[in-house]
Amino acid sequence: MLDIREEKIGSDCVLSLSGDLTVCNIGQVREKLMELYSTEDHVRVNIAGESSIDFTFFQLMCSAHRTFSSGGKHISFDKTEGCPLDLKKFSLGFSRRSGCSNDKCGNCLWVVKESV
Amino acid sequence: MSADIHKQAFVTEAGELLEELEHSLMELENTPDDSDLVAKVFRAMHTIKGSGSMFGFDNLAAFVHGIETAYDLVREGKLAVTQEMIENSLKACDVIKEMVADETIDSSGGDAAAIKDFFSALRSGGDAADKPAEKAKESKSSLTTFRVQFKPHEDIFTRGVNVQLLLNEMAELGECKVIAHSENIPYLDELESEKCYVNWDIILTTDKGENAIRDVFIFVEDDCDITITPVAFYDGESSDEHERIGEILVEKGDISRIELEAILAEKKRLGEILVEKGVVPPSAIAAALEEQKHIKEIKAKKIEAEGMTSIRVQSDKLDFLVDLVGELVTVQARLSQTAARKNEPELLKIAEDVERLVWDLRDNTMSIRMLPIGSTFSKFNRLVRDLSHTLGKKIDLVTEGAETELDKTVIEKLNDPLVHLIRNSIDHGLEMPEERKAAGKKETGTITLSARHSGDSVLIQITDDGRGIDPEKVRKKAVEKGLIAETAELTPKEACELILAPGFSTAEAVSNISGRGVGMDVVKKNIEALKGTLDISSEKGSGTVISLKLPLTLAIIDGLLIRVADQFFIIPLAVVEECIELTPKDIANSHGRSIIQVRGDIVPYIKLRELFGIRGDVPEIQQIVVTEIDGRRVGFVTDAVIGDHQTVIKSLGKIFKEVHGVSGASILGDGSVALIIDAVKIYHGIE
Repeated sequence: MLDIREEKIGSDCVLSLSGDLTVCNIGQVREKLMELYSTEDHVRVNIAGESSIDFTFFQLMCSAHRTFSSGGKHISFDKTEGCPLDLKKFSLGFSRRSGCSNDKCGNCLWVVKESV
Repeated sequence: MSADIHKQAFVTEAGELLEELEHSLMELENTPDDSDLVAKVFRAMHTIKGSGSMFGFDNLAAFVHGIETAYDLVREGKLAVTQEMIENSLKACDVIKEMVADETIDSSGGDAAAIKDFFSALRSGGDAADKPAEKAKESKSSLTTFRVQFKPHEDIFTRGVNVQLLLNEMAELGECKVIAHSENIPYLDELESEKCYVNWDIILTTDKGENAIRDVFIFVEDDCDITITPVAFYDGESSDEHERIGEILVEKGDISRIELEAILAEKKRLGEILVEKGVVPPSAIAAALEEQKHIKEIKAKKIEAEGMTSIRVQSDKLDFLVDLVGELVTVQARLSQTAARKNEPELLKIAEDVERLVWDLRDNTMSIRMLPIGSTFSKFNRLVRDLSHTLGKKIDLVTEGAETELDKTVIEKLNDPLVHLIRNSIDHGLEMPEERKAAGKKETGTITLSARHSGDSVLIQITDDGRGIDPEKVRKKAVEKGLIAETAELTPKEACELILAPGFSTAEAVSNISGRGVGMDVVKKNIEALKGTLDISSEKGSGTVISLKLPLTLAIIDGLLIRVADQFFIIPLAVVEECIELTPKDIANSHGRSIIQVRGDIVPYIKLRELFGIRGDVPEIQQIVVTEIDGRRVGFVTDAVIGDHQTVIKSLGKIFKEVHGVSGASILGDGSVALIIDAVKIYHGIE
C-alpha cells in the first residue's frame, strides 16, 4: 500500500509518502514527482510514514534530484525522526561525502549535511 | 509474477544443496577431522541460509543460522564434530526440506525445536559470543581485501531479486564498504523505475575466500556481472598509496593507462628509472609488461569460461524442445519418403542433408536431458544409513556406474521404485549381524546399486548378499493366497517371480519399513510405465539381484516398423532379438500350437492379426519378430518387417486408455499412424 499526499507550506510543496516505497509501486511516486516538477520550484519529500523502502526509491530520488537540479529547481528530504533512511543509504552505498558527478548544484540528497 | 519462478529456482537449488549436504555429513561422520568436509558443510548451510533469506524463507534462514554458526566454530577448531552433531545435522536436513516445501513452517516445535536447542547448547559450549569484528582481529594475518564489482542487469528487479539482501549478506562476511555508482540514472522522464541503473563497488575485508563471496551471488549470477578482485593481502608488506590509487583506477577501468600516464607525465616511471640507472634493459620492462598483460587476459578468459560452463534451464522448456524435435523427425521422415518417391537427385540430396542434421539435432537435444544417475544413487546413502540404524543391521552400500546417463524424466520416475527395492533388500534380504555370522558371512551386509548402458537401454541392478528368496516359502504363500494351484509346477525362478503378484508379501509382520501391501507389483507397474522390464534372480542363502532394464529416454525410441495387412505397428528395438520367417511348413509342424523351433529352442508366438482383429489375406510366408521379455523369448507374427524406425512417441489420449497392448503411437513419413506395441503387456496378458 502506498499513500501519496501533497501540501503547500509557504513556497514549498511537501510531498508526504507513506506505506511501501518499493519496486511494486515506485512508478506512482515517479508520476507524482514528474507532475510536481512541472508545477513546483521547491519540493520537500517527507517519508515519515513509510513502512518499507527498497533500492528503487533511492534510484528514483537520485533521478528526481538530477531532474530538478537541471531545471533550476530544488528537491530535498524533510527531516524525520526515526526514519531508517540513514541505515539504508549506508548499506546500499548511497552514503556520500560528496555528490556524484551529476550533482552540479552540490546539494546531493545523500551527503551527510543533507541527510535526515 | 517472475519472483515465483525464482522462488521455484531456489526450491530446486535447495534440493540439490541438501543432497550435497547430506552426502558431506555422512562422509564427515566417517572422517570427522576432515577440514575440507567441514568447510563444505558450512558452505552448504551458509548458501541455503543466505539464499533462503533472499527469497523470503525467513523461518528457514533463522533455523539454519544456528547450525551454520556451530559449523563455523568447528572450522575455527573451537568445536569437534561428534556423532550426535552429525545425527542432529541430518535431522536438520529433513526439517529444512519441509521448510523449503512450506515456507510457513517455523522451528518452534517438534524436531526443529529439539535440533535448535541442541545446536544452541553446542554453541554455548564453544564460543558462541565470538563477534565478527573480534574474529577479524584474531585472524588478521589471513585477511584479504577484495574489490567486488557488482553490476546488475537492468531487469534484475523483475526477476524478484532484492539487492539490499545481497549487500547485507556481503556485510556479514567481514568489514565492508559499499559504494553505489549512480551516474547512469536518467532524468525522471526517461526513468523506468523498475529498472536498475546503478552498479556497485564493494570493498570487503574478510578472512573468507573468494568462494564465500561468490556464494552470496549464487542465485543471481545470471542476472548480473560480478568481478571479484583481491586487492590487498595483509601480510605485513606496505604499499605506496599514491601509486596504488592510479593502479586501482586503471584496473577498474575508471581511467585508461594513457590517461594515467599523461597525468603522471611529470613524474618519471619506475621502468624508466630502472632503465636509466642501467638496472634492467628496456626489453626486460617490455617483457614484464607483456607478461602482466598476458596473465590478466588469461584470468579474464578463465572467469568467462567458468561462467559459460553450465546454464540452468527450466525442464518444461527442454520438454518443449524435445516435442519440436519430435515433430521435426516426423517431417524429416516425410521428406525422405517423398524424395525417394520422386527420385529427383537434387531433392534426394537435400533430404539426406536434412536427415543427417535432424539426427544430430535429435541426439544433441536428447543429450541435454541426460543426467548422470549418481545424484539419485547418492540419496540412498541416507536411506541405508537410517534403516541400518533403525533395524540394527550393519550395511555397506556400494554404488557403481554413477556416471551412467539417463533421461531426466526417467531418473525422476525411477526414484520411488528404487527406494522400495532398497528398503526390501534391507528389510527382507539382509540378515541381522548374528544371523550372518552364524551363516559364515561377514557381519556387514552389502547392497550394491549399479548402473550401466546395455545397448540402447540402461541396466540397473540392486544386489544384496542376504538370505535370498526361498522359492518354497514363496510358493507356499502363493498357494495360501490362491494365486497358484497346489499342484502347480514352477521353476525356482518362476516361484521367485510370484513376489511380483499384486498383494503378495512374505513379510511375517507389517513394519514401518515394508510389508504394507504396497508390494513389488507396484514397483513392476512403475517400471513398465517407464517402458522397462524387471527381472529377479535369487539364490537361497546367497542373495538377490533385481535387474531393471530401462530405455534411455521416454520421448523418442528406436523401433522396428512392421505391417499387418494395411496397419503399421512399431515394436521397441530394446526388446527385439531377431526376425525369422514363419512358413506353412512351420505352422503344420506345430500341430495347431503357436510355437516355433528356433535353433532347437521352442519359442511361443502371438499373432498380431488375431490379437488386434485385423482382416485380410494372410501372406504365405509371415515374419516373426522374436523378443525377449522378462528373460523369456516370445514371437510376434506380422505380415512384413519393414525396418528400423526412429519413433517419436505420441500419447494416445484418455479415450484409448483401456486399449490393451498399445503404449502410444507414432506418425510415419506418409502421415499415417503406427501404433507402438507394448510387448511386455501383451505377453503378460496372454500369459
